[in-house]
Amino acid sequence: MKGSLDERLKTELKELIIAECDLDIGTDEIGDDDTLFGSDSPIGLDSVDALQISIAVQNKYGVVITDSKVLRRVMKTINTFADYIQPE
Amino acid sequence: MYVHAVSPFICDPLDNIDGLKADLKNYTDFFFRRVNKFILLSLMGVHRCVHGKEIDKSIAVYLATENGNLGDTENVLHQMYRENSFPKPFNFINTMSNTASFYVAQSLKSLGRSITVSSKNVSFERALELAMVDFKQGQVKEALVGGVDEAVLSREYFMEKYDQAYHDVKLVEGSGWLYLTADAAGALGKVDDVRTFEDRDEAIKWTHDNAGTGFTIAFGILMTPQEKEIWKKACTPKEELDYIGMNGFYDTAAAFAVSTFFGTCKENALVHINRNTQGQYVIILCSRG
Repeated sequence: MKGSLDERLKTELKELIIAECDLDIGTDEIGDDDTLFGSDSPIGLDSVDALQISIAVQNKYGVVITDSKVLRRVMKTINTFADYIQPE
Repeated sequence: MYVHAVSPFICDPLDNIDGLKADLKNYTDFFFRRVNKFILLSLMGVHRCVHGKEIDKSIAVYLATENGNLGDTENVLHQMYRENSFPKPFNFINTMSNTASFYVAQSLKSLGRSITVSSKNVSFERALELAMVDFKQGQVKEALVGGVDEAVLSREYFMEKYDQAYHDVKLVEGSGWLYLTADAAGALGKVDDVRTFEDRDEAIKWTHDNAGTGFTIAFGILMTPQEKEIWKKACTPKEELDYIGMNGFYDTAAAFAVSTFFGTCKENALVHINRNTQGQYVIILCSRG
């Protein structure tokens, strides 16, 4: 099953982002298609958050993302992120 | 340097920082995240100190610390050597010595200088000295000078580092701050001098000649009971502020002593005597009015 169709995985990713980035919000405040980074994003993560998340994802799922451009593309939304971690 | 506000903040060792975060919201609406215990302690001390005060945007921050971001340094080492992982960026950034004073300056919207000072056993004294020089040169007109440290990792480490006479002292987290300006109007008192002596007799003579009568005396942790008695006999203070015995110890507790003096003691002056492991004596002289 593609990650974007896996509600459990998506909730897990939201929990991971909230915990790792020290956000004071609930998982229901991050929409599956909300932009995660930049000034247009409701949660406004930045490049240091991206690094923090990538290390946490590596530890938790064994997925290594070292290219910053790939990182930006993969972590655009929760749906794109989930699809990268669980392609099918 | 005139003292306009003080904040002697200490608490028992914290395993969880949520309570500290919640308490801090009572003093500032600054949105802080990615912070650790050391940064929160720094912010807590500072914002309690300047709460309700109109501070200048050019205010300088001198943060004295013996150990810095102890908890996150441990986290980073654990991640690298136990988990064989890269250190997490937030943990790594927060181990850098000036991160806490950056957060303090940012939360105050300060455009002035911010500096972290560490000098074995006498970090707070050196920060005060540095601030005094900047005030005298007219480069700083307002400053926050504080001493912040987390409780040490273990009692064994503490026993190894400090005098065995303090084997039963309580170890605490601490953040003591002074809000200083060049303006005498409305001040609680002033920091008169910070002096370093290589020789104890010289230091005692200076105290005797400069402290006057009716002062409070306080001692740093490396001062032995025998030394304290010699000092008290020679200088005849009116009272001793045993802040370590009463409240517990953290590595820059001299900041707690000075801020406690202005907050609660009644005498006209405070002489705080500290010693480092090189045998130097460093004296802080403060007075009221």
